[in-house]
Amino acid sequence: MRRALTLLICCLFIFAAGCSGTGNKGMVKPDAEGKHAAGADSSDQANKQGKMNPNGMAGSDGKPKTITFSTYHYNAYYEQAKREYEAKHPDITINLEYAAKDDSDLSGQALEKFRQTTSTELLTGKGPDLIEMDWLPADKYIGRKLLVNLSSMMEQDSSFKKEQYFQNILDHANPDGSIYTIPLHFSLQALLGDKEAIERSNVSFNDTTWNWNQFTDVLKQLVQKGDYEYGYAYKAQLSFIYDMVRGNYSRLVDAENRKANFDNGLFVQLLEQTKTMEEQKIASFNYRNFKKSYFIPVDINSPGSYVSNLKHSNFGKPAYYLESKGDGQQPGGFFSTYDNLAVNANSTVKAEAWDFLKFLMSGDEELSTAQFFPISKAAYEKQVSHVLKDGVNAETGKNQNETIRVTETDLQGLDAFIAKAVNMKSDMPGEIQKIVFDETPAFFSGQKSPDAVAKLIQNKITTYLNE
Amino acid sequence: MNRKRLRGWIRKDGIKALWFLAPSLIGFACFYIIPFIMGIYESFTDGSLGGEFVGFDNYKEVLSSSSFRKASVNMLIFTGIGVPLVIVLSLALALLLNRPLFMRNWLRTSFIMPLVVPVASIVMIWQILFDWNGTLNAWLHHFHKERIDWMQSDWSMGVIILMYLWKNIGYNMILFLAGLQSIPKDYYETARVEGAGRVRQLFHITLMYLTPTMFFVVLISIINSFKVFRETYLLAGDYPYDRIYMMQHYMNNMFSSLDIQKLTAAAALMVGFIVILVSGLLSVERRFRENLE
Amino acid sequence: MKNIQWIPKVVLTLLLGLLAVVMLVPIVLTFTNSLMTEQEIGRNYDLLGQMIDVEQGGKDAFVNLKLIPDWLSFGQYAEVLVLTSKFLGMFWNSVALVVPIVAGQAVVASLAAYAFAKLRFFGRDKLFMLYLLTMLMPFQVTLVPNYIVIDKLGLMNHASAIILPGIFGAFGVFMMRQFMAHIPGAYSEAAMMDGGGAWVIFWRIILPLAKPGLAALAVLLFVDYWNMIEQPLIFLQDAYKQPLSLYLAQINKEARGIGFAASTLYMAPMVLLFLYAESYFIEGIQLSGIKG
Repeated sequence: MRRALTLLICCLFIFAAGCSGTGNKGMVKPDAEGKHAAGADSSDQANKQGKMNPNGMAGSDGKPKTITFSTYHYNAYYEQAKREYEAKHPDITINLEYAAKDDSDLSGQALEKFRQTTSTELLTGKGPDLIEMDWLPADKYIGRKLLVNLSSMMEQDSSFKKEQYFQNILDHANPDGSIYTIPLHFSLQALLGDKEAIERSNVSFNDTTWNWNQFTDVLKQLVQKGDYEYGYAYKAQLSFIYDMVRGNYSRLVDAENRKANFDNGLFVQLLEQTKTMEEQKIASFNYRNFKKSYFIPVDINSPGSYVSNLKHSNFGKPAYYLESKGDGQQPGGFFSTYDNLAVNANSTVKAEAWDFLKFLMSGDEELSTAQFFPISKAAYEKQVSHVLKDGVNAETGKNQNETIRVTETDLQGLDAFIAKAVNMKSDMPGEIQKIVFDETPAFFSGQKSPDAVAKLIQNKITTYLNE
Repeated sequence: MNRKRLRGWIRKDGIKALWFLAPSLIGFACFYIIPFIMGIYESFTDGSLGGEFVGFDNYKEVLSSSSFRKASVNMLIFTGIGVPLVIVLSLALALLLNRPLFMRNWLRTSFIMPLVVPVASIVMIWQILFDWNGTLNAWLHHFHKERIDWMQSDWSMGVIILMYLWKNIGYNMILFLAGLQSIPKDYYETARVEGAGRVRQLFHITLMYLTPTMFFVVLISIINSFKVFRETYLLAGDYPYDRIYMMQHYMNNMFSSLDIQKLTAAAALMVGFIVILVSGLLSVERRFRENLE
Repeated sequence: MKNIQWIPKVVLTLLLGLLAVVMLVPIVLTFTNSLMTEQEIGRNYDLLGQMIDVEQGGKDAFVNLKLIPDWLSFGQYAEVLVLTSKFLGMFWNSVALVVPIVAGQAVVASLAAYAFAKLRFFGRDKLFMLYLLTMLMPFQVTLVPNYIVIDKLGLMNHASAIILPGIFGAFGVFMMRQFMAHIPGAYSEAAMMDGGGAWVIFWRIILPLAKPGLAALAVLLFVDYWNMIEQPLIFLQDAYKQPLSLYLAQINKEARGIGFAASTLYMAPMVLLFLYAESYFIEGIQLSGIKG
């Protein structure tokens, strides 16, 4: 009796599953997960165009080649670029593969899959030809010699003119001196300060070179002058922790000797300092105090935001200042990169992939309309002319839907400002950052003592360093 | 049985054995032995794709890594406590459930149920219990005690052992039950007739005839102790608290840093250690078996 | 005398019963929580993993572990089965992967186990040791070589990339060898005297006696492979081929609200299988009783 019942239920299950199963099996849904190849229809278009344009393609021999381009997120720009490139080069097919569409990967499983698959493929000498490295451990890949040294490709390619791109970004996005990944977009991070109030206070500093301790000193002095309640308002406690650790990195982490120094009291001191900083009103962790601080953190994402940040601040005479440097960082500004692409060292179509990469880098129209600065100066000029013509939308503040007119003078300092950017904003090893970020919230919420937190972090970072 | 016949048997067996072994061997070689050897080979090369032979360099590096040593120690502690514990408990349960009891079938089924719960659900329930804001801390709070960060203190080893026990008591119990039921009842009959007491029966019959099963269960329990990694990883991430940082964490992190060489070197060391352990067990088992036949 | 005799029985039953309840708690919890509305789940478990501000009263906040739902609702099941169309498809995928593996390994392993247990040949123990060793390897070690092998065989992104290695797994060989090993040699010798070849002995004598072992093997294999995550993640690239285990891992992080129902449905086949296989255990008793 029982056996018959279980058998019946099993059959029901299988029957029900089979019904919907066959429905799904046939289709390749361009859905949230799994690999998606968006290359099927391109060859038709290319044939329709008919024209061959072999110029600019190094070493092409007319044979049909496929470039596999693998990214984590779907990016409409890539799709568009692919179509245009294939139209110009009929014997090239580009296979666009992505793991997740938009923000649909909440659980991180698609990312995990993307990471593991890409690593495994590359380690076996296979894998995609062009890779988006944003979410992958680029330094480890470079260490294993899995990526092509693009600097040498640039030198050998006479048609590539490095001056057409923001060289300081290209060079400093790669720590070793040789370029392995090329960012298609970047943004700048800086401080917005009340120039008037600062000059009035007669506190002197050099924002190009100041380090974290000098920065906090300046904040202390400024607050005493009384123009504003706070010296600096952080967006979040974790950004403060980041700055603090990065600012004291060499004293907290001794990578060479594989020693972590979170237990020597310095870290505890720093943690406790956050409480005093808030009490002494040197820094605030409440974004509501943005209006009451001498300095606030800003992101400059485009020529438009360069202007709108200034126009929207409540400072009388706002000005940009450079953030404080961490250990080993160079005097200058900070930038973050996006859409970092690299070429697989074991690719069989290196030259073609490099050519497509160049094409992506130079996409004037598309790059200029994206939300960040483009790597190509030509696209940047286009961005500038757009904004001069159309103005920029007010994103915050009372005039929310108004458009601000932008003039040449407004943008005067921007070129120089971009040229000053020489430090990558997040250059702490991801594992250390994660460990610190995971453990410190317990301190801030008052649930654990700073000693307990420091001990945990010390523990884990030691484990990491000693692997 | 004279010598000639024996020799004839051995020769006959060789070819016959091949027929029985063939399907398994072919597939096994293809999907397990060859990758295994390739993996071990990797541990003797350096990182470049060409693979230059570097001898024992990777092994030296691995052995000198204090994290590796920490992982080994934790692994030994965990296995040293967990495996004997689970075997004693599951054997006791199997023996108890092999006798007439009320509701025996229901009891048996319920002990085996933990096997059936998927890892993801277990993790959720365990989180609910042991999280900083979890139920256990709620009880502690109710009794006016301090909260304990279960997963980030030395208690974490206890939590992991508990998870391991919960899941594997049922696992081993199935195996012991199957083993117990394969012992012919008449052995017990004979013993009883000859006046042997319960305890004597236990030791001389049950444990004796359970030896092959026991060997199996010991090894499987060790292997399952490795599987506990999945739950630990889901609960505590890449870098858990010191006490529960195990060999698989080390290996997983090596894989993330693409350091396949150190990964396979560590694995080879681990396997080497277990080979010694298993050979010891095998020889003990063989001696018992020869006594049986 | 008789009265006293059943007291230990009751005590024992009670003790074991208590233990059994403890064992079952997580399962019962999963089931009852699956009958709660998603909002209730959110309310109860929102605090998991969060550090709340002590000053804002965080010291007294805890997760609410409820056994009985406030409101009985099948909403979770509706959401999982009907609204999320992937579920049944993935269920089928899981079945299509696990059943061949279990059946295949049972067959292949029994054959090999007989050789290891009952036949004598050169290098038998050493070969067996090799089988054992591979079980000890965590998957990262053989991942890259496995990838190469499967790629060379052209099985990438195909169900066989998972089924084939599953069929030739060492666990079955190991287990069946142990069970066959303590079937006393007298049986095979007797059959051989009667003129039976190795195959006959295997088919007519050893295999039937190893039924409890086979039943146990089937259950354990099913549970193991039903839960596998790493292999499908790497070797199956298309979304529509993914098994249920991957879905569950995702759901518990993304949508905790329906995670309980998904888990309950996920567990159901294994529970049914076990109940079904249990009868073979009992048959095993009867058989060993008949054996003289």
